Amino acid sequence: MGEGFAGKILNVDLSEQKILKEPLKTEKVKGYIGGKGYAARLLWERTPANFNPLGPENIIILATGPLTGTLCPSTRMCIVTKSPLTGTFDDSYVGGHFGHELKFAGYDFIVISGKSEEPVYIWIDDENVEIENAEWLWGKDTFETEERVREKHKDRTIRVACIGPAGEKLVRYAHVNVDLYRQAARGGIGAVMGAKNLKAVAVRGSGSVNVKDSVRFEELALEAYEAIDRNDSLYTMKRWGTGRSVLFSNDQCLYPTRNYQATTFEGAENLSGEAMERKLWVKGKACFGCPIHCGHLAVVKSSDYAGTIVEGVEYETTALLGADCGVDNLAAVAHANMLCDKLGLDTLSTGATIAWAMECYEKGILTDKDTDGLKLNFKNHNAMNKMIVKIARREGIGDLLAEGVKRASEKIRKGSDKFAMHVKGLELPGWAIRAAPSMGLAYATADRGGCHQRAWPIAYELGSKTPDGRRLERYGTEGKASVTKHDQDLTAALYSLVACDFATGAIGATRYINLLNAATGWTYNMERFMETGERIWNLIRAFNLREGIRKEDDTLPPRIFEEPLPSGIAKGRLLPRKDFEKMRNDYYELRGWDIKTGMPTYEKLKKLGLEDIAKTF
Amino acid sequence: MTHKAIVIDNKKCNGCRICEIFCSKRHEGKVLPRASRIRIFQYFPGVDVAVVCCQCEKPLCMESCPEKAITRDENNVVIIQEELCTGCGICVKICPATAIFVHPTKNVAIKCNLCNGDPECVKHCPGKAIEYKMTPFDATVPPEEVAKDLVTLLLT
Repeated sequence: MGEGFAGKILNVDLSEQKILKEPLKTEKVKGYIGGKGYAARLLWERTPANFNPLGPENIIILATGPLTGTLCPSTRMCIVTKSPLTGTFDDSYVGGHFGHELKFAGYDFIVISGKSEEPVYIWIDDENVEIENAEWLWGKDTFETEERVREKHKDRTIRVACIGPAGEKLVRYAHVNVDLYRQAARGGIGAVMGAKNLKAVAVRGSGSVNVKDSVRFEELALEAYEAIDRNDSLYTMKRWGTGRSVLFSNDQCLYPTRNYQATTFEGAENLSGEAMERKLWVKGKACFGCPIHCGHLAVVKSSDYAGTIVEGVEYETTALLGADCGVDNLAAVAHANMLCDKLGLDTLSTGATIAWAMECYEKGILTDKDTDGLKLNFKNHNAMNKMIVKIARREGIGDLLAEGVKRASEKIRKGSDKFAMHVKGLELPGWAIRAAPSMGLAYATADRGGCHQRAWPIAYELGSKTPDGRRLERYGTEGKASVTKHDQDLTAALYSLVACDFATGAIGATRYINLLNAATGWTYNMERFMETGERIWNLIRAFNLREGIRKEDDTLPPRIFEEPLPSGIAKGRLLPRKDFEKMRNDYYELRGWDIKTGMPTYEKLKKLGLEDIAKTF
Repeated sequence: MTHKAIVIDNKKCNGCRICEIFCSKRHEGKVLPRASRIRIFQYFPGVDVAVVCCQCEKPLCMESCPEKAITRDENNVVIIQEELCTGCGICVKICPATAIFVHPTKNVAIKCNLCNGDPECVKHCPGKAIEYKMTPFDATVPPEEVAKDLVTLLLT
């Protein structure tokens, strides 16, 4: 068994009802670190080309990394599959306590394949793994599912990852819920579980993770705790969570409003972390081993939404279910957040899809007849909350919206695709583009479609120095490709550990590399770490190309190129198409990809040690 | 009557389980939450309750142990003498606070011994929810009841 790892892959074939434990070959993992990287390798190897993400040939990989479950603070796990929303690789991250428990049970990865005929859940109790009947859980929401599984096994401390009704109904952006309020939310992994008739995975683990050099590892981990404790920027994260960004984002014209028509929202103050602290929060909430505790338990004690209890509201949710739907009623947004968590929906895609439907309604493309009488105007939080339930149940127009904005707009047309705000089918998150052009490049080239977590080059546009010590002009194209590539490669490596975004600023890549080496006995340095990130990024690009993604998909919604911003400090700005294309060409060139096709060259893949993959093109 | 013991303010508990990490590290030499002497239970809809021995005035565990393996030391700390413990589990079942656990690999019961007067959980709790101080001997309350009270206090 390799240090840093639990040492096993757990294979669960739901078609054959077979369980196979496979030793983890750490020499194979080494070039991919673990987590995202090695799961990408497994997805490539264990699926056929051009497969249906909702078919039995798709696999779901629950992936931990060499730091998960160790003394290193603030680690997570990731879930990897082919997305039914985008048709691309999908990796979605979740904190809570599940990944750590999985490793304590003795597994680094679970690979779930096939399709069960009946609803089932997987019960992992250290060495004992069972595929159990889940008919008694089918139809239940995520909160109840988690509680019922704990009751059944008579243990409050077992960990459950489950889907809600939305996953069962194959809503293309259904999430996987963990520890009540933590989600692997993006890209529809919940629908993949639903298609497999898999309601939940539950785990109890009573072991621990060995590290190679425990003295050095402890020293580094304690340093990491201290770095988090001392970090000034984390003070605001601890106090206001991600909600700290609402006012900043709004001031900088980055807060998507009314389906991205604007990027400043008149009601932003009502949705800020400061407002939540005053009105909603009763206590802090944290993931396993995380001193940051960015989460907060929110309670609505009065108004029509009294009785709402949810962890949040996270920044992204305030943006998409708040500003993007024109809603500034904080209690209503918290309620929508709770409904999504409970029913099993990604709050971002849900908010973005309803925002798109609201614009269709205001433009007369959708009418009262289509909405079953719901007055789906922007700002109508009551209609928004009703629509969430319809989507989760695929009732009436909810059935169309459950497909996401790309498919829904292709179906109803009438120009609605012009303002369908997605990249490759993944609805755009809460960082608008026209006041931060590099974010356009980051979204267009992100491996899982419109995602802000692969690169967040906004920081450089707002004044942070680039990794090579330069300052960039905010609205120019110069240097944007380089910082985007840098962030993507670094993030791919960090997500293979599996690190959390909020801790990385304090812990720092160098300390993470030292932790990785002390855990595994490997000899990574910054250069190799970045190269490994690049290897992972190229492997995933190859997967996406294999599954039919083309250069034409590396683009942005027409609104970004054509409609100037109506308000705020970036009023009048759009992202000229030629600027975008210039950044994209720079990016392909830097990546060693063919500018005409966006495909990695044979030489590039070979240089990264991916010759076997290069040969398949 | 007062004594020095661990006192928890569950309102401040974020549920991060850093106490479990450092407790198990101290007593087992590794991160092994299932051998931690303090445990965090999460109750619906999201409250966290720390479960740890409060060093009762009249410990039922001590009274019920057939091997007389549970004693009070000179500092008033209720301790388990591992060499006498047969792992029968009677104390685990009888503790109203559910604050005694069976070790995951060794066949013995484990509980908080206050780390020789310098408890690790107190030092590392980021929410400062755990204190080691003089406190009256209180009635020992099961965690479900603590959770119920906490829900009423915080959420209604």
